Amino acid sequence: MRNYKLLYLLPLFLFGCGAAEFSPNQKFDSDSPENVNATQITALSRKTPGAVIRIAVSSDTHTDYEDSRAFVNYVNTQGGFDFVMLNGDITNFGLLTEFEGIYKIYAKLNTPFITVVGNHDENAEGNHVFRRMFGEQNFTFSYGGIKFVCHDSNSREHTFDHTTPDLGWLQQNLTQDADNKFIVGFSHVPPIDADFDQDLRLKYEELFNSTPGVLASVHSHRHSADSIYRAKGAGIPFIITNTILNRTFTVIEITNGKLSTHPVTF
Amino acid sequence: MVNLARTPLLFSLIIILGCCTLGLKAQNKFLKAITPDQAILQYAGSIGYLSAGIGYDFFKEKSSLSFLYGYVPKNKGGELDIAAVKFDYKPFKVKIGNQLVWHPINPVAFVSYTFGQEFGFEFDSNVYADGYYFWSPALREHLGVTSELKILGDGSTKIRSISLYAEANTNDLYAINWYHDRKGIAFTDIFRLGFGLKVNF
Repeated sequence: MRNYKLLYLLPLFLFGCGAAEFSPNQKFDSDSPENVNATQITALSRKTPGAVIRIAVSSDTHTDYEDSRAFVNYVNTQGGFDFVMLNGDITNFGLLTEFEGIYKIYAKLNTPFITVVGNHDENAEGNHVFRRMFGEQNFTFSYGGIKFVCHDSNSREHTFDHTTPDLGWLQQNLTQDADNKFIVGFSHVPPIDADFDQDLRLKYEELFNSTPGVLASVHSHRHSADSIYRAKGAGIPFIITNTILNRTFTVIEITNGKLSTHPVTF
Repeated sequence: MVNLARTPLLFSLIIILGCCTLGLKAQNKFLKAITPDQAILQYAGSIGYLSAGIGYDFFKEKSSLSFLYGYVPKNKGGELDIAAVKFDYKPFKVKIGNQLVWHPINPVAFVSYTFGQEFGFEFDSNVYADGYYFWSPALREHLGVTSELKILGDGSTKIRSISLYAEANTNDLYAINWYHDRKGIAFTDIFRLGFGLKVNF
């Protein structure tokens, strides 16, 4: 009987640890952060850019909290980054608790971080969760005379209905202006991937190649070593970065309109 | 979509109600069998902001099977309609005085189904190759434990007792995430709470 009595305490222990939940599919709870990208972009705008812009591009954390924490620690300890990109797939199933889990870890960065939507993040109610927590899925921000054009390229999650990536939106936003001579694109699924709408691929690549000032288009999704391709072998680099699951991220350095990348393993 | 999904549920409810209203002698036995042993009202517990349902006792009241319908209002996390079927087992019974019975630890298993467009039973086979995503967005399998305190009535009414319970549950997807990142995710972090009231007839 004595052993049984110890067992009685198990539910009490779990009740002490857990939180009430209405559904795994709920779009927000009382603790959910809101408009994270806008807040982070405001924080970034308060920084003073140097001659070299250094960006840590991280991606595909899914729910690997251990490696995500290691990445955050690395960036905080190393220092010297203007900001961090989180280039999609921050969940496995598009669930609120997964978004919150990664947010809590990245919120500990001592540099701003900007989040792009990935294909996994669009499952179930993921689109709603993302829009409320981070903001619009197509958005731009600028830093150091460079315009960063972040957008949804997860065509499969939009049933290849030719709306994603949104070429109309890109035509309007992939543009130089008085303050921004250079442009860098960020989206999760690379054009060469089968998850990208292949009917839109040529137009998409041509748009990036024909727009003056574009330095690169940065993608992730493939969980493999960094690679770069150029459409038809010429033009701007389409960069595909690794995953946090492989304890690797990509450093992008931009100096006077010249962009270089290298992977860092932590 | 929501309305369409509700149709079979409504249909079966109509059949049950129809049987009830016939009230023929031959059906008395059947009626008795389908008259629920419990009415249940639950807060949270991953099947709605509020959920309500009925339950049946089995194995000398050591087990119960219950059917619940849950709802999450827009301002509590987005509008969601959820159906759930629960099975629990109460291995222990502690009498506290004449009026109270405590079931300290009861394993519970349930499935929940979320209705709506975003929640296919499986992913669209026109868009996704077999196995591209392996899970069903609509159907969750949950495991958990409850602790239940039963307040006994004096036998003067049809209500034999009232139970208060707390429940901690996790589901297949949370468990998968924990399994793949056991160093990063604490086991206790994958449990979610719910609290409920049962009226036992």
